[in-house]
Amino acid sequence: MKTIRSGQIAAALAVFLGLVAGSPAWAEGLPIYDDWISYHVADGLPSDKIFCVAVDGPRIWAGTDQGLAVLESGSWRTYTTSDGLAYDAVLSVAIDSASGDVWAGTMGGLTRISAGRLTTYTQFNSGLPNDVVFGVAVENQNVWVATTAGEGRYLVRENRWQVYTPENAPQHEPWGYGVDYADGKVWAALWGGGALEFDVATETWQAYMDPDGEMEIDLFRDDGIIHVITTAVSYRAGILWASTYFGLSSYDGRRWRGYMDHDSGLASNFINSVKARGRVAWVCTDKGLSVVDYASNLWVTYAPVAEPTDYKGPWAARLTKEAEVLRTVPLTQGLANNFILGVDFDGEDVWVATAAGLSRGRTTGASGAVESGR
Amino acid sequence: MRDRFRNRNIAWLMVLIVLALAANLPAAESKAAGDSLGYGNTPAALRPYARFASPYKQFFVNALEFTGPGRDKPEPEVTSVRIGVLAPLERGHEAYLGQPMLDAIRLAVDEANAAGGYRGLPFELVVRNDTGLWGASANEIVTFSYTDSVWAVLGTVDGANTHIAIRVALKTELPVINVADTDPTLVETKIPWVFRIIADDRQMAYALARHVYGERDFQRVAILRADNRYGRFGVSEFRTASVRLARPAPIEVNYEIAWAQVDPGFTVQVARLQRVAPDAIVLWADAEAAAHLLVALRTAGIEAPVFACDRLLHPQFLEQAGPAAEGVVIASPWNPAADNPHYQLFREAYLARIGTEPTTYASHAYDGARMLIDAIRAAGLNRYRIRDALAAVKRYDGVTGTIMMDLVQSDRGPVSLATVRQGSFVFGDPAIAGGF
Repeated sequence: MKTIRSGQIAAALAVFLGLVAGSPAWAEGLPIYDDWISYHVADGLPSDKIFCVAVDGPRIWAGTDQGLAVLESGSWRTYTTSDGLAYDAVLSVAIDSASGDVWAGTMGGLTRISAGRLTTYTQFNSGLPNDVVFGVAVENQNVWVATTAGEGRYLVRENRWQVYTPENAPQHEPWGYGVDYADGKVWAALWGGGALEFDVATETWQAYMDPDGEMEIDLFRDDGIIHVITTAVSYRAGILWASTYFGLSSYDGRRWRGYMDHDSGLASNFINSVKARGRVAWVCTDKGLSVVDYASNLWVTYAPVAEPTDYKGPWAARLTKEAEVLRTVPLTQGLANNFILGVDFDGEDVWVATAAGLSRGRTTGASGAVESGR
Repeated sequence: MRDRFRNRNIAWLMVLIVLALAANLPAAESKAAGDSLGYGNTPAALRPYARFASPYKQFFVNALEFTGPGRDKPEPEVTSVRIGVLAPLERGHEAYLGQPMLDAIRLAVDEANAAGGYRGLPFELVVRNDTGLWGASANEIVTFSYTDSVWAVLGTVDGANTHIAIRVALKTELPVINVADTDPTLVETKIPWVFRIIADDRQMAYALARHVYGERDFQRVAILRADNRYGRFGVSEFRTASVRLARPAPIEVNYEIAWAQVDPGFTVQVARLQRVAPDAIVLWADAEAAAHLLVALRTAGIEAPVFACDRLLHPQFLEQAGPAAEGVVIASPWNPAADNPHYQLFREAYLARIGTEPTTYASHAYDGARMLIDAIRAAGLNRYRIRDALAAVKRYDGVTGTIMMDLVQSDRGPVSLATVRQGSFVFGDPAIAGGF
């Protein structure tokens, strides 16, 4: 009861602060997600270490280090190796919206869940380049994987693999780390190789590397991808987002932009992954979750208030225009952890994979929004 | 016409600038010797774009941090404290480096167990062969992490395999103490779980560049290297140093790793070097390949002095190169001839057990194992706290000298040069001015 009363007071305070700030209609800017709940082992998850999350209609899939969990009708079920999963540590999940199949990239192979049946692909029974599948994405009737021995394209209907390595794609090492597909283009994040673009229609590759060619510096701002240790890519609405452990980059086909924690609202330069919805990117860092609107360079960052690792303490949403802090909105409840690993979208809701639980965020509208005109 | 005239003037201006820079080379070098060294012990004159622009962002100026949870995980009930070893032990061209590493690690673990182990529990090694197959090291780290339940991993040698391994270690949150991979880019990935306790090819390339260009004043230095990541990234800093000192290498030749099957006489490499006739050659190769290359070069009448990487500091090189090895100058990540009582004790123990002198990588492996054992004893059985304990080490007095960890958790202790004289390595000859 005491907890509820504290929460109500904090929520009222948040509303008040939002009103004081003249909260705009949230549709005009970035909404503030001020309603967070989290799931842990006590709620039915096999582990609190959540590598990835994927929304599949009414189902939420969570890849953990101890199995692939799915939330359906309010309860969790877990797939493990005893059910036929390739390996219990699940790094990536993709949903084929056409077939309903679920593809899970694990540390021991790729598993397809189709109509309740699990099929596993490994480097020994298929053309999967390597068993550690860092990323997976569905492209038309094909499935792409990012592995440490190249990018694989599984032509499902033909049961045939194509593998891309330095032999047939512009990369000096075949170290795939992430993969994404949208609008006729497959993008791959390469460890040490920047970003790769694959045009599905022409089956041609284009590489994007750090123009200064140096690991220890970023020579000029906005001259290209910030660094070649690329951790993830997301391509939506004609904009590529590429995350690195050194900052974030965007590319609209003509112009590159770089974002670091000193020149933007980014929570941290150490970015585990990025995922875009429209022209808004959700950036998963080791010190919180950042959201950026491409057009306005407005940011909302969700992070612990005191120290970056004080995730059990109070949280706040920090609203910034580039690096200028516009205001800070306290949250009644924070995310499960500051170490954010993945994100996916469920209508207007967002699901967040963290190193200590799975969180779901909603916007009540009470906390206002950060508006592009501010 | 006017544009052509203007372009010609601009071209002349560019030539004059380049000549002015070249004329200023000795001054720039001497200034560099007096400057504080930057990231990776980089002299001012060799920093990227230093003469043209200041970078928008300089990386590696803050200590790496791990901000995730896990430090409060309780110690499990165990009967031994498992430590993983990933090294090339068989079926690979780097096995000659891996086996001495394992011997030294076993020695360190046996000594630690004789001294009580970890609170009465024995340390236990879980040894896996780094086969060198693409991606195999990733699978090995998965097994170490989830099946073997080791607390940390010691290894590895090959730059590519190590990069592959550490990406998985980052996900599984497993400390990796690297004792033998000198690829400069290994620690330039910002992975807070990786610790390298051996000086890298960046530092050794700078030492060679200082000697070759600053002290010996060679003008046209060819690069000869292995056609793999070790060769490609090993020479990268020497290559760029040559450009930044206005003496770009006239040729860079590589040889196939399967040289013994493809071209045991290195006829292609010899022919290309004969055409260029360099003043000197910088060689990045494994010991056996280097020995046969040296023999081939000298047999063909190429007498250019050779300056080489640390993998030549192995008895195999001396035995197989014979007289062709004489005078070769080799970069070393440490100086075994330094007066170091820790090394003398280790050397005696290693000799008594193994019957041979400890190699460079054996010595570093021993230091790595000791550092890890100390960290486990201090932190307890928790990977996160073990990582923190390793990250807290800034200086470590080991058998390889004082290990000086920088902000990216890599040893930046001084390197040295050695020269082959009368069939032996003479360390500290020539001496290096300034420290890399």
